[in-house]
Amino acid sequence: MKVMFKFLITGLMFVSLQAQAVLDIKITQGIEQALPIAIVPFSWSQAGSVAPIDLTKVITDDLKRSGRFDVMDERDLPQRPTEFDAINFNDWRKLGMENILIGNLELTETGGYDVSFRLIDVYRGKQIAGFRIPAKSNLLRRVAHQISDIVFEKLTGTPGAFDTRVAYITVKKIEDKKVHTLQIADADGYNAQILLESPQPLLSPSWSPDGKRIAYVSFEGRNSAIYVQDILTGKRERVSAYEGINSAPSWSPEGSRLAMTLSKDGNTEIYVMSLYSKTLKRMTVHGGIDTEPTWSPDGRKLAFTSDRSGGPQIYEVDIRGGEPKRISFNGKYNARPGYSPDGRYISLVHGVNGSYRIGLLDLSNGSINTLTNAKLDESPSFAPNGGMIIYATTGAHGAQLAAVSVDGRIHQRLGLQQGDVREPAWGPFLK
Amino acid sequence: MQANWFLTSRSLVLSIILHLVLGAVLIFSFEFSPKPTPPPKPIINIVKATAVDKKQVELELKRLKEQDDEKIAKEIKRQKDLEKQADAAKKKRLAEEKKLNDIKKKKQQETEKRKKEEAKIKKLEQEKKELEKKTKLEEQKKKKAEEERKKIEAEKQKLEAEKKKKEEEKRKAAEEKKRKEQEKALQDQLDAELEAEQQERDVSTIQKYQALIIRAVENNFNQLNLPEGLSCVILIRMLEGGKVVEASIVKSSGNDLFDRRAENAVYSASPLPVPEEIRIFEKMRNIRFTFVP
Repeated sequence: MKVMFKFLITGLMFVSLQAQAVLDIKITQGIEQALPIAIVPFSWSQAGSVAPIDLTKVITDDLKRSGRFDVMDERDLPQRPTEFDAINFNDWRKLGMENILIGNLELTETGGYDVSFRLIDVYRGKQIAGFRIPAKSNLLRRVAHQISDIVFEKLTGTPGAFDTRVAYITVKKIEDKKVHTLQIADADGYNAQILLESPQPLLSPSWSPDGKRIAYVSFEGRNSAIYVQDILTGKRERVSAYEGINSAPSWSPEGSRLAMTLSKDGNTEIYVMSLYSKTLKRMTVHGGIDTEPTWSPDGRKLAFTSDRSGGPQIYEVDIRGGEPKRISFNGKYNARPGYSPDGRYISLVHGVNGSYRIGLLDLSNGSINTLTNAKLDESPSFAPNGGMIIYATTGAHGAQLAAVSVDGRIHQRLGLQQGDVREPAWGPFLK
Repeated sequence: MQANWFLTSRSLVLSIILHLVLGAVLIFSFEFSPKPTPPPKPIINIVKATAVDKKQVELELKRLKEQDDEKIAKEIKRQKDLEKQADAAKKKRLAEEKKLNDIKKKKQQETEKRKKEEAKIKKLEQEKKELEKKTKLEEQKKKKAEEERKKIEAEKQKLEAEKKKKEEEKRKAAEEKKRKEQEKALQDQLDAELEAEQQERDVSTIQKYQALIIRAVENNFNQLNLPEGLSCVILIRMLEGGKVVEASIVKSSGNDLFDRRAENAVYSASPLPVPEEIRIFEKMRNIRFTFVP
């Protein structure tokens, strides 16, 4: 007993000594760089035959395109485990590789597929996330995007927006005739679908918050009109065909209203239409041009472009009415506003010395940060996770889609389409 | 006792006799007292008076009578004298007896006295003896006491001496202790100074490596997309050479991603820059990183 006690005391002393001999260090800053990840090629159950999809490539491209990840070159992989138990952690630690993604693609007896994956924290030697997702062959690509989303969310803390879609307008010349199309595609540009073809211009697609419908402007009559089209059924409805201009529809966050620009009362003004009753509420009364309304994420405000102070600038108006307030003061040209999903920023087209660039207006201080550097960039639209902005950029080969990370560091060209591609609108998260 | 009883009884007889005698005397005296004996009248010879007349006759008669009387008186007187003589003899005998008695008594008394004195002397001697004995005892006692006292005194002195010795030793020990303490204090001070110098050198070395470690970890702390205002504390343990072998979140930021990034920063920076000297390395083997970007 006594001995034990002594031993205990010694032990305590040892512990306290140990506890004393701790050096305190404060880390007050860090770096910001792409997150290292290794994606090991997924195994395929029918070895010998070609897999229906290269999951590894889709995921790798997603993560790379986000600008948030530094994906290890496949040739540098120290090993190619496809099961957790096969991972030799020391090999990866030596390389400073923090995260590994491994997985399997299996053909099921019913002809479907099972995709399973594990995201591994190398230093802790633990799984961060792991799922098995059954899918039919036509949805395998979407599964890959879903995996990308999970990886993105687990490693960056914000949801990924890979499993989302983008709507845009293309203009092609076929036999000297212009063909305008309204299309939607996966966020990586694949799986493009044409929703509408028209010899007359199509403009301003806007997603319903549930991602099932799109509102747009069509000039298919003599005049402009606003249509709402169901994506799956193709059924469409002309909701606004007033005399004069019918333009710039913007779906309200709760999905029951459209903000739009109408000149039916003589001047271009902002209106809000109830989609059930088609009744209108006029939001602006001014002799200048008021256009391009967009809803704040909480649905309480509209931002729009107005030249009431001379050049185009961004204004905000309370949805219940009242005097609009100017919120952009930097530069002579600020147009095409769009709120970030968190409501803290507004993306816009910022005119600088004859160039038009994508800018980010910080609503907390009114500063505008220019994200792009080309001559003519337009139609910025936030990804639903707020991490990227898609926009159209006009270069030597016409207008193309491009994306930029909100910090302006990552630039992507989405050059998958022929001809001019304009007016992109990033769709909501798929439910 | 028997002798005493005898003495007493003889005295008793004597005293009885004496009393009887005295009683008889007294009775005789009482018998005479109703007939007082007039004192013997002086015999007067009337020769010259010749007047014969009645008066003369009477006188004569009277003279004759007186003569008779005188004769009687003379007898009486003689008897009385005889008696007196007997009495005197008796008295004398009695006196002698008494004297004898007295002598006897005296003798007895003297004997008694002598006896008493002898006894007294004896007693005195006894007493003297006892006294002497007592004195002797007392002297012995005294002597013993003295010895005892001396012994105690000696003991006391011995104790005193021992005490003194002890005190001296104590004092010396204290002095020695003090001296040693002073020496030790001096040595300690020297050691402390050396230690302090060493410490200072160590601290500056540690600070140097601390700065290197901070840089290494910060260069690996990826804050991409991390929310602001978070902090966490990570306790790490290194092997010699700086390899991080253990990292544990001791205070989480509440955000798993932040914690993981911080932990990864430490691991990615491993091996951390550490001094080669093991003694100094030991002081920084355990590091508590607080990530407060």
